[in-house]
Amino acid sequence: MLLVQLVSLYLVDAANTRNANALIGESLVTTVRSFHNSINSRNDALTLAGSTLSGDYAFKIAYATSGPETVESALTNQRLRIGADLMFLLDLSGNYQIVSGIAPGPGMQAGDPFPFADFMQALENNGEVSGIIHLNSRLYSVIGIPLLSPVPVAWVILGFEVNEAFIGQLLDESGTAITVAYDVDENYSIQVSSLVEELRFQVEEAINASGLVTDSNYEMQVGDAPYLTYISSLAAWGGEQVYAILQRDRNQALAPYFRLRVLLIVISLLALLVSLFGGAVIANTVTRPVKVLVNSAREIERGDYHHVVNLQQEDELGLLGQAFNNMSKGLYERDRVQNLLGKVISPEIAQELISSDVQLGGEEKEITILFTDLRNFTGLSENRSPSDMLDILNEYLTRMTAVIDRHGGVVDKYIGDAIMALFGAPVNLPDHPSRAVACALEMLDELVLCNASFKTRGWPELDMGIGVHSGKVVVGNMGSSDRLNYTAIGDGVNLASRLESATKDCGVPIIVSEATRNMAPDFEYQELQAIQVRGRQQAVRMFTPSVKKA
Amino acid sequence: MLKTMRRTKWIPILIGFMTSLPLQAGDLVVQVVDDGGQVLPDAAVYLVTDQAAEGMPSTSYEVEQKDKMFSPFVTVVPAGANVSFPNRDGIGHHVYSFSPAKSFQLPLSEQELTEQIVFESPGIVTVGCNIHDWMVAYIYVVDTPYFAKTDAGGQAVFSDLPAGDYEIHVAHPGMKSVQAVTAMVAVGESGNVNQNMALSIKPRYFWQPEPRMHEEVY
Repeated sequence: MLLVQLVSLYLVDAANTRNANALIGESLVTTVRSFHNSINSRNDALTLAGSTLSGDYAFKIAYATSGPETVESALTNQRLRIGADLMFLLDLSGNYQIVSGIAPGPGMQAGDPFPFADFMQALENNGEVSGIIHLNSRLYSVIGIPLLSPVPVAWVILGFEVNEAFIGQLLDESGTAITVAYDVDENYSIQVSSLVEELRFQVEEAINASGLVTDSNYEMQVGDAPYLTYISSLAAWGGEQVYAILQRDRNQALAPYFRLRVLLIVISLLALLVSLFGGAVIANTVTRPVKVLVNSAREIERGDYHHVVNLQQEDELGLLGQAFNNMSKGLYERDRVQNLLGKVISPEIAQELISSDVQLGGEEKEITILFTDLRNFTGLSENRSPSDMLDILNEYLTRMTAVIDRHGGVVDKYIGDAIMALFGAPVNLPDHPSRAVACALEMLDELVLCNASFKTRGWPELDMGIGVHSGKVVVGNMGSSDRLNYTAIGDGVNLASRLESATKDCGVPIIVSEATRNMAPDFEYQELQAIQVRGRQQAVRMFTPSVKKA
Repeated sequence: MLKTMRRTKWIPILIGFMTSLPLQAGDLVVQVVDDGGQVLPDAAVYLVTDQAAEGMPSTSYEVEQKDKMFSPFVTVVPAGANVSFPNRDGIGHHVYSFSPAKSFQLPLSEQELTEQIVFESPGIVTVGCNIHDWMVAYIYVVDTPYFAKTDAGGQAVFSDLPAGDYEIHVAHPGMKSVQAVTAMVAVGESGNVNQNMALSIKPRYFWQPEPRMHEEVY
């Protein structure tokens, strides 16, 4: 932004300066033109006045018949009528006859030749002539015309001195200085100028030192100031060059443009400040909040749902911040629910429920069901506070659930002090029977440890029974569509429960079914008395496992 | 009869061929050209001789004003001649001359004046009109009975001149030189003598201004 502004400032300034210089140059050219026009119109006026003179009968009579004093007075009379500074009469050979308006210097007596041969030649060839002559250290802008009587009998030269009054008329523009200079053999002298003497001297020095260039704008160093200069030749006779030098002090002329440039810079600075301020505002209201949101998103990625986005603004970003917070809360809730779900129904079932389309219904699967029960739990609770009982129960259940977990089993549910666990669902386990048996055995070991711990705390020792059966059951979501349970149902479930119940009467801690025994041959079994189970025709064989076979 | 002329201030005089015939009187034909080789009408040609001249002719001459112009443009008269300036224009003219040979002015009049001016002194008289700047006429007053004016073809013919030597003088209103251009020629008893003479002439405005008769800025 800053770079763009600087570049555009530079370009505008350059164009401005170029434009200013061009305009000054143009104005000089225009002044030169008006200078030339002024001289031309003066010459036209002189010619007009001179023609009237040469048609004046009284003057013709005087010239033809009177002596030189009379002629001179008549000539002066005419000159004063016109207002010219000089007026001469020359004979047809070009020699002075009468001089009026300037004191006749040396070489200007009657009979002396008029010292401008080229001027006279042009006059004779064309019948009229105009231009500047350098006479007696002065410059005169003159015309030449014949005195007709009725044909040319003499030449009349009349004109104006090129002095301050002459150039003063042209100083219409403020600050344009006009200087008239002539050169004789490349030595330049200033005849008259509107510049002050010191500057005039410096200009003379400058053009003598480095010459001058006509008909184009260029810069001349006058003293310590640069002057934009335009020089034009004026028509002159006698082998001399006469120049009109028009100049303007460039710095003065450019003063309004410098002011404009200062204004440009001020505006640019203001614009810069505004853009900086604007940038800061944007940073504060947009960039920073966006950063905050990004940070929060990262925190959420990392699992920190409590990170609150605090954007105190009422615009869209503020709304975004609020939405973010809401989303964060939602995610947190969901996570919690998921966690909770996992806690309630074991993470594997929770995952199964979440990942599948939760519908009622299940599948037939061969799994192993394991039931446990505390034998004397209710009796134990007589003398204890309910909260104590709960603590005891929770610890027991926690230990046993850990064992089940270790063997890859899934706690289906807790029924008071009983545990129903599944091996082989929802996750498939090919060795589910062995796992269940191993689990049951380890549960007994765990009970020992548990009781030891209880004893130190003054808690009662527990006694448990475990029933294990493997068979095809239906596993899936059961219940109503609004309230369902992932569990197993079927005859096999009942059998496992029956087997557990039989453990007390049989005096063994673990009873497994024949099916389980057959499918988990890597343990030692002792057969028990078969029982009759309601719903089954045949008696059910029962086995109790002991150590794992080596 | 030389065709080329040198354009210089000096007047080149070209001599033609001469035929000499044994007659009493010869003819002299003078051909005048300018320095561009163009034939020069309205040149005054007069012959100066030592021989005894016949008497001066006593013709009257006139230079009329008609259509705001003098006519004729050039008139050659013998010294002592009378010249009248009749105004046949219906509007006034103020005829004047400041020439040293004869200075005069006629009163401004619309009438046809019959006043005659006598021109005694030889020389050139430039006549103008004070009201109309362009009107100009020239009168050459010569001191010899042998004078003529070149015609449109630039020729002046002298017939039946007595045999003898003559100095031909040629002048023109626009001639650059102050004096007439001269050449010596001998005329025989009979036969033609041809003489070519050339004059350097100034720009026309010097001797015959442009008429300004219509709506012009004046």
